[in-house]
Formats: sequence, structure tokens, C-alpha cells
Amino acid sequence: MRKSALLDAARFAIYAVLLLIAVFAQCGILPYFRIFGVVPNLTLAAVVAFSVFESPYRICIAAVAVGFLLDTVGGAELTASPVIMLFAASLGILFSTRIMKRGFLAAVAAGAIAALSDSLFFALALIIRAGAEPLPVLFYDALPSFLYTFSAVLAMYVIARLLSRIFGAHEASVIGY
Amino acid sequence: MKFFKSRFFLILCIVTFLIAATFTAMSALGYSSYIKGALNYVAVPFQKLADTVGRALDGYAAYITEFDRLKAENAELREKLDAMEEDVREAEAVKSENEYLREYLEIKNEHLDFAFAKADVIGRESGNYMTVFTLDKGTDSGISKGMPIIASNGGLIGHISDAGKTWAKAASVIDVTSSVGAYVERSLENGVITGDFELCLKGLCKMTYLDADADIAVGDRIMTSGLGSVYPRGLIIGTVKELVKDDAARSITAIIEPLADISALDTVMVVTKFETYSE
Repeated sequence: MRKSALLDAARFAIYAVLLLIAVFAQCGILPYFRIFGVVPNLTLAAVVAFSVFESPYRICIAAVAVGFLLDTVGGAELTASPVIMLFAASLGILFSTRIMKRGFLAAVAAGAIAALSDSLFFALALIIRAGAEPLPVLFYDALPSFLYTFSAVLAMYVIARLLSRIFGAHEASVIGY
Repeated sequence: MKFFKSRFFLILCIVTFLIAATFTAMSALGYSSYIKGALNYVAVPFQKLADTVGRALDGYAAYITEFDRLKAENAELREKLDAMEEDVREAEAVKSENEYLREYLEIKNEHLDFAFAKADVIGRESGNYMTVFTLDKGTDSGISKGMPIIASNGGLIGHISDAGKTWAKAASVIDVTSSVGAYVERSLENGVITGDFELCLKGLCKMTYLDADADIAVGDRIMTSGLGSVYPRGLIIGTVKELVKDDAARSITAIIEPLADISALDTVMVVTKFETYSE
């Protein structure tokens, strides 16, 4: 086995472990760190950040898997996270391989769109399912949720960047798919 | 865009949508899947671990996120505490004034000819004797030099030695310059109360001009005689604490303990008007 393949596998293994930690942290630890009453979608942030440096195939499968795990562990009635995670991973791949050629800006742009979509999706669900007033939901739930998740994307990007320095980035993000 | 056009991505999207729709529908219909059950079974230990970590960090999070709120709450509670302490102080002052007025009323009933001006002691002589003190009322309140001063228990304190518009100096009966005509309440023996350097340190004064055979005993009450018109007649000066006989001069000196506690005065009454005594 070539050294680069080994590093590739090691990087993905670490990403996978970090994604699992993100899921459990989001369900077990972050509820204690609510800011303005919201919990960030740390898993989404990790998926976006890792998709910039990881193989599109592997990150997409991992994204769907952690999305499913997140809804299961979190006890969500609506199993929407696999779709949201796949969407987030696709954004990361798209921005890093076709538009901005990997890097900070790709993560920022993909993270912003993914975090905004995630916040709006759950705000919409709250409005439709619970009959909540749109404006308060958008202002007191979606907006802080977006800001908190987007901040998490930036933090996760730093970790992903550090790991890519050690293990190298997947070639897909270098040559483009 | 090879990846997004690939069969892999297309299948993954379809599978993901199917999973999401199936599990959402099952959840809505009240069915639970074996997959979710198994996943939860495996996830529980990790969830517990995460929750333990979260709980451990909870205090620190609260410190960060609730610091401002707790600080504001602390300031608010401190304000409330200050206000309550102020209320307690006011209540104590009212209670003290109430007691004072009650005693004042008793004296007023005993001496219907008296007119009073209430004054607070705001300063004392800086030396050891503390026989002269400053009052917060002066000529604007009808107080003038020479007026007698009594304590709320009716005991004579002394007289006004000097007065300004808003202040007055009072000299107590134990002051060496003081001289008050007095008599023994029981036997009507006359004498003069004067201060003494040695005695005033102990808060005492002496009664002189008593004959060697004067009818006076330890415990007798000494009153103002009213002679000389400085003090009204019948104010209690104090009680005889000790008798000192001077055989050579054929006289007795009585050591008097004033009724008013000169060293602990805070409020006094100045007798601004009284009927002078004439024999």
C-alpha cells in the first residue's frame, strides 16, 4: 500500500471519528452551551469543513450516515438530517473543486449557504408544524442558529486544515472533479 | 462536474431521500425501526459520556454565558439590600425618637411651665474630660446662652455656655466651671454642685457648702434649688454616691453621680422657657 493511500485512509478515519464526536457533542455537550437559546449544528459544520479536503464519494456517504445517526441519537421525529448533510457536503465539494478551488473562501461560502439553509429549514418546520409566528422564529431562532453554526464551520475548518497539512488533502480537491 | 453527474451521486441522492422519507413516515405513523433501535442501543454509552462531559462543563458555560446576568442580579440585590438596611436604620431612628418623645412627654407633664427645644449632640470636647459638647441647634431654634439642658430621663446635664445661629456649646454639671444651686430632696439641705478635675474623669461631681451635721446620706437624690434663676427648681441632678467629711473645716462634701449619662448623650432637651423660683 502506498504511503499516500495510507495517509488518505488515516485522514478519513480521523474525519469519521471527528464527525462521530460532533454528533455526540451536538446532542450531549452543546445543549449546555446554548447561546441565545440555540445549539449550533456542529455536525453540519464538520461535514462542510471536511468536504473541502476529503474525497467527494467518501464524504457524501459519511455525511448521509452521520445525518441519520444525528436524527436517531437526537430523537428527531423528522429524519431530514441525511438530506441536509448531503446537501452541505455537496456544497463543500462544489465550492472547493469548481468555484474556489479549495481553501478558506470555499469553506466560508459553502458553510454560509449550508448554515443558512439548515437554519431556514428548521425555522420553516417550526412555523408549519408548530404554527409559530414567522418573524420571531426567524429573528430569535434562525438568525442566532445560523450565526452559531457558521462560527462552528470556521472552527471546524481550522481543524480540517490542520489535518490536511499533516495527512494531505484528497486529490479530488486538488485537481477538481 | 463529473461527480455531480455520476451515477454514484444520483443513487446516493435517491437513497438518502428514500431513507429520510421512510423514517419520517414511520415516525409519523408511530412505527419504530429496528435500525434506529439498534443504533440507539449502540449510541447510548456515547450519549451518556457526552452528557457527563456536558454536565461537567455546564458550570463553566454558565460562568461565561450568565456572567452579565448574574452581575446585574447581584447589583440589583445589593441595591435592595441597601434599601432594606436604610429602612431598618430609619425604623431604629423612629423607634429611638418615639422613646425619646415618650420620656419627653412625661417630663412635660411634670413641668407644665417648661418649653423645650430638642437638639442632637454633634461634637464633643476632644480632651479626656468630655464635659463640653456641641449641639446642632442654636439661636435660630430659640436656644440662648445660660439655658439649662436636660436628658430624656429628666436628669440635668448642664447649661448652654455659648450659642450661634445654628449651633450651641453646652457645659455639663461635671465641668469645673459649673456651679448649680442644689438641695437634698429628702431633707431639703442646701448646697452647691460644682465640677472637679479628678471627679469629672469618672463622670462625677461634688456637692459642697454642706454643714458637718447636715442631714444627707448615700443614695439621697439631689435636685436643683432654682436659686439664682439659671436653673428651674426640682430638676434631678443625681444621687449621693459617697460622703467625705472635713473635720477641720467642719463640713461635708458629697460625691454626686449625675442621673444623666454625660458620656453617652446623643439627644438632649434645652429648656428654653421656665418659671423662675423665688423663696
